[in-house]
Amino acid sequence: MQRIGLILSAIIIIQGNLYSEITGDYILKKIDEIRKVGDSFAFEMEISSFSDESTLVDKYTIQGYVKIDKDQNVKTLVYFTDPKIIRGRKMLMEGNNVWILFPRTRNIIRLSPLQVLLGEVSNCDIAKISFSVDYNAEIIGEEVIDGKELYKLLLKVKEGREGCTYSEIILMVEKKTFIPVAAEFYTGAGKLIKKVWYDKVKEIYGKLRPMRITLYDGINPEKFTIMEYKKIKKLSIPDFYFNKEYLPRFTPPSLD
Amino acid sequence: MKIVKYFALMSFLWVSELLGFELYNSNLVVSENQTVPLMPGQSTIFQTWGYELNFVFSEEKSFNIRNNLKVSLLVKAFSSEETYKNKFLTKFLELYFSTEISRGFFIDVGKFVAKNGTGYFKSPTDFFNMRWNLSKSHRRYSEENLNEGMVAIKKEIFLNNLWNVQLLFSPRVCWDTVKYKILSYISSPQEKSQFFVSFSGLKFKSIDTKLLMLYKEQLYFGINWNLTRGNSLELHGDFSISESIKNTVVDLISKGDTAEFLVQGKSVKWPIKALIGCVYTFSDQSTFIVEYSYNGRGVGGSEYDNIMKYTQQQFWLFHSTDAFSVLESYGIAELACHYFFERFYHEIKTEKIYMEFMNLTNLQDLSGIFFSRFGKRTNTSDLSVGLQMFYGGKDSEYGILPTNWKMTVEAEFIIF
Repeated sequence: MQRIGLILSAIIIIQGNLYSEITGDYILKKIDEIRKVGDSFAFEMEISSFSDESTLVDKYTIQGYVKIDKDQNVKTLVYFTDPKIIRGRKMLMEGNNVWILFPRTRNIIRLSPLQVLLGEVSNCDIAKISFSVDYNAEIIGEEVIDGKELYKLLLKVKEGREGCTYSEIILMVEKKTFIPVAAEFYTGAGKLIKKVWYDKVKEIYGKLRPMRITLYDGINPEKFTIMEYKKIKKLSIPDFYFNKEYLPRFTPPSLD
Repeated sequence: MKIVKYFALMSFLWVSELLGFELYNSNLVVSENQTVPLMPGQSTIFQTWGYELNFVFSEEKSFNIRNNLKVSLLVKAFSSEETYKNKFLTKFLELYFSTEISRGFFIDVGKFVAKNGTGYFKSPTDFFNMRWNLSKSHRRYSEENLNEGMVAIKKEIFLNNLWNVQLLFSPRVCWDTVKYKILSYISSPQEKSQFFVSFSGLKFKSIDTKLLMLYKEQLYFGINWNLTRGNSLELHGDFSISESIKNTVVDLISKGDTAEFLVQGKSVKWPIKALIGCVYTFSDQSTFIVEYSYNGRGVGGSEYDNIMKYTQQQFWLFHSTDAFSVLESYGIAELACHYFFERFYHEIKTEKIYMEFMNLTNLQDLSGIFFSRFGKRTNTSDLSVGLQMFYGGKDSEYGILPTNWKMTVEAEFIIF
C-alpha cells in the first residue's frame, strides 16, 4: 500500500514537471538552443535589402565571429567580404556598443546603433543570439499556419536589459521542434518596427535551424531585407579578438 | 605629346586602385600633402594613386607593405608662357612586419602609421598625426596616403577583451639626404626619437577611455573618451597637455618714425588642447557632427593682429609663399584658441549617391573653410567630386590665404 502511494506521488510529480516545463520561458530556452551553435562559433551570411519585391538596393556578405560568455553576453566580430568597395570593413558589436574600422584607415570609430543599419537589419538582429537572457515570455495562444501547429508567445523585455532589445515581441514557434516561424517586433509605445519570417530549415550540428530570416519594415512592408546563413562553423575564438583595439589586426579565420 | 603622356599615365592608373585629381586656383596650396609654390592665378592638377598589400603568412604573422606613388602635374592656366612640368614622387608610406610572439602579444617592426584620438577633424591626442585632417571624412585611400608612417618598433599586448597596452619606440633616423638620395624613397628623416605608451580598457559604465603618454624631448599626456546615448547619439572628447610648445610670434618694434616686424620664438608652458563633439544620426541614417576645439597654444589680441599684418606685408612685398611661413609654422586650425566644426552627411541609398557638407570656423575671426562633396558608389568603384572654399576677411586666418577654392575629383576602383 505504501509502495502504491509512492508510485502515485512519483507519477504526480513527473506529470507536474512535464506540465510546468511547457512555459513561455521554457520555449525561449529551447529556441535559444537552436539559435546558438555553441559558445564560440562563426558564420557567413548574405544580407540583401530590397526597396520592393523586384528592386535590390544593397547586398552584403559578412563573416561573423561570435563568443558568448557565462553571463550569456554576446560579442560579435563582423568582417565584410562583399561588395568589393567595402571589403575589409570590420565591426565589433557588444550589445548597443558598436565599433567600426573602415578599410585603409586606422581610426576605430564608435557608432550609435542607428548608424549600423543594413537595410532593415540592425546590429541587434546580427548580434543577438539569446532571447531568454533579455525577455520573459508567456504563451498567449496557439495557431495553425500551413499545417504547422504553433505556439504564440508574448516576449516582454526584462528590467535592466533594455539596451539592445525590442520592447515587445510576438513570436510564433513550431510546437514540435521549437523552431521560430515568425515574429513581430514592437517599440515600448506599441508601434510595429518589423515583421520577421524564419525559413529554410537545415540540420546543422545535429539540430534543425532556420537559415533564412526575412525582415519586413513595420511602416512600409514593401521594404524588406533577407539575412541568409551560408555557413556556420564551431570555432574556438580567443577573448582578445573582441577587444576593440584588436580590430586593425583582425584577419578573419577561414570558415571552410 | 603632353596629352599622350597624360593618357599613358591614365591607363596605368586604371589598373591600380585609386585615381585622384585636385585642382586649385591659388598661388599657395595649404594642404597636408603638398605645398606647390604657384603664382597668383595659376592652377595645378595632381594625381595620386596607391596600392596596399597585406601578405598573411599565417594567422600570427603578416607582412604589410603599402606604397604610394604621387604625381604632380603643374599647369600654368593663365600665363602666356605656358609651361608644363611633371613631378614624380614615390615613397613607401608603410612597410612593416607584424608577428604574434605569444597569445595576444604582438610586435610590429618597420615603418607604419599609428593613430589615436576620437576627433573627427582634429584630435589633440593624435600625437603622431597632428596635421590637417578635413579629408578624413572620405575614409578612403586619399586620407591614408597622406600620412607617411614612422620607422618604429611597437609592442602591443591584449590582456583580454578589454585591456590593451601599446609601447612604441621610434628612433632618430637621419642621413646625408644628398648623398643617399635613394633612402628618400623609403623614409623621410626622423629628427627626434619618440617613446609612446597607451592604455585602453578603463571603462566608466559604457564610456571607453584611453590614456596616452609620449616622450619626444618633453612629455605629452592625453586622454580620450567616447560613449553612445540611446540609438542616435555618440559623444566623444580628447584632451592633451604637454610641457611646452614653441610658437612663432611677431612683435612690432618702433624705430623712429617707422616700425619693423620682429619674428621670434615664444614658449607656451603647459598648453592644453581639448576637443568635444557629438555625432547625431537621423532615422534615414544621415549624420550631423559638431565639434568644438580649444587650442591652448593659440594666440590672440595684438599677437594675432601682428601675425596677420606681417603676413600681408610680406606677401605684398615679395609675393611668394615664404610670406606665409609664420602662419604655416602653426599648421591648420592651430593659430587661434577656438574652432568649431560641423559636418552633414546624407546618402540616397537606392541610387548609391552620397553628399557631405563640412564647415570649419575660426571663432576668433570668423574665417573658415567650407567643403562639399558629391559621390556615386558602385560595388567596385567610388567616384566623387569635392569643392573646398576658403572664406573670411583679408586679415583673417583663412581669408588671408590666396587660395580661393580647391576642387577634388577622386575615383576609386577595386580590381582584385
